[in-house]
Amino acid sequence: MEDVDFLFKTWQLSKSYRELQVLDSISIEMVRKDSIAVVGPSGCGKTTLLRLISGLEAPTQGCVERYYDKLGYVFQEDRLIPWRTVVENLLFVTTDRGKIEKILKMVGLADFSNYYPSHLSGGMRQRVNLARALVKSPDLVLLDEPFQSLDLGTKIELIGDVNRLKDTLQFGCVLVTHDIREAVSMSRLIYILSSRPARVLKKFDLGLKSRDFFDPVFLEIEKELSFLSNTGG
Amino acid sequence: MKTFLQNRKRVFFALGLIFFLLCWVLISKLIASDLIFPGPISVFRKLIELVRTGELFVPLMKTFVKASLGMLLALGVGLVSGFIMGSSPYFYELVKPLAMALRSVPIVSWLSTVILLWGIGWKGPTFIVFISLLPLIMFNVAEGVRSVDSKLLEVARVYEVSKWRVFKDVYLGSVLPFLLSSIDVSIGVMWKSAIVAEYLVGDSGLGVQISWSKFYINTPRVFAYTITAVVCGLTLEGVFSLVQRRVYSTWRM
Repeated sequence: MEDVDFLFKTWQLSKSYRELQVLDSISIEMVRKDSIAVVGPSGCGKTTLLRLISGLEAPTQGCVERYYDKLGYVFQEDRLIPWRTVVENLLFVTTDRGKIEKILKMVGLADFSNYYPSHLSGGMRQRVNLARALVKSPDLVLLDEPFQSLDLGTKIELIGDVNRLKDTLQFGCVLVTHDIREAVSMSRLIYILSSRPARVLKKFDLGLKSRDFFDPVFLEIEKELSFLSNTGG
Repeated sequence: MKTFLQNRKRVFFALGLIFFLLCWVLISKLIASDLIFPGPISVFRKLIELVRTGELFVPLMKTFVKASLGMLLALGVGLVSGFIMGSSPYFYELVKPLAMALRSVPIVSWLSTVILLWGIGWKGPTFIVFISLLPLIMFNVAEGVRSVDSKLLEVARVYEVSKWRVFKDVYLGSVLPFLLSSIDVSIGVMWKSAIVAEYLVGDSGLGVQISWSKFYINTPRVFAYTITAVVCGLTLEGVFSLVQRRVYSTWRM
């Protein structure tokens, strides 16, 4: 496989803050249009991994080879500009109003373009966060525990939406989460990380088009993943 | 439909105004000299006379113009220097001693400098308003810049947003509450400094009228102009409060 078929490769990526080591020699490769998940206990450094991939921070050791063209980043908190409307928040990252209209329709927020974030529910704000990540047609989308603060119903809805958008827009996506079920319902490849300092414990290739949150097939996989995740470090 | 509590408050406020007038009448009756402390009736009579002769609105407008000009200058210079101060910690420390000194200099101390520079006229009062407001606006704007949400700045980095867009959408929005709050506090200062400055080195306006009235020991006139100054000051503050509320409600903050 040539480099151009990858979105990024990390090579023995490590990150420490003073004496605190957060990531320990993480090596991950991501192929175009793939869906991968990085699962681990809370606080193990998953967010840091995304920050290193996106370039927000530099590694202490190791490196990131980037082959992606454009990046979308769905942050854990919605990080919307509070004094700007939904449309204006998207205009912040692109000037293409046609695309903005299209993407808002795709995430179901067409009727809320002129609302301010404070007038939207948490789920809706995350949709805007998602729309902003997708509006520039990125080839790589990073999702940092985006469903954490949402109730189950909204979460399932949003997961379905992301999967649908993935099929339509054909982007590669990295989901970071501590919830195995989210990982299984959205990704083909799952990396399990240990607790801090995070190392890759295991890699699961599901190879299936996983979709339904409660599909019984996945309960078995989940059990195995949970066991590993709870005991691995 | 006003609530019972709101009605009650209004009633007491009205009673308060009456109470104020009663105190005034009482003190003036006790002192019993129109020259030292005129009562409300002679003051309001003088006030009506001034309105009729046009000697109220013309000076009022002149003071207002000078005060506004001083405020606008302070806003212009304050915004620019505040932004630089907020963005660069070194510049902040460099400018801090000067700004703190400016903030503490009493208006009277500017007298000799102002008179020698511009003599009696409008430039002195405008300058004094400007210099009285500048330090607070500078510090507030700097604080607004420093308090910009770094999470939003990270969003800008990830999406490679242009610096101009970041300034317009993120920085200005962060600075606005601080700026508005500094103007809110400064309106009273603006108005009073203008009048004091006029009193000392002005050639027109309310301050000058008060000075002349005092010179001719026309105390009811002094009081009439004072009442005007008070009412105007309060009105300006009230109008600005409305503006502030409007801004906040449109931004849903």
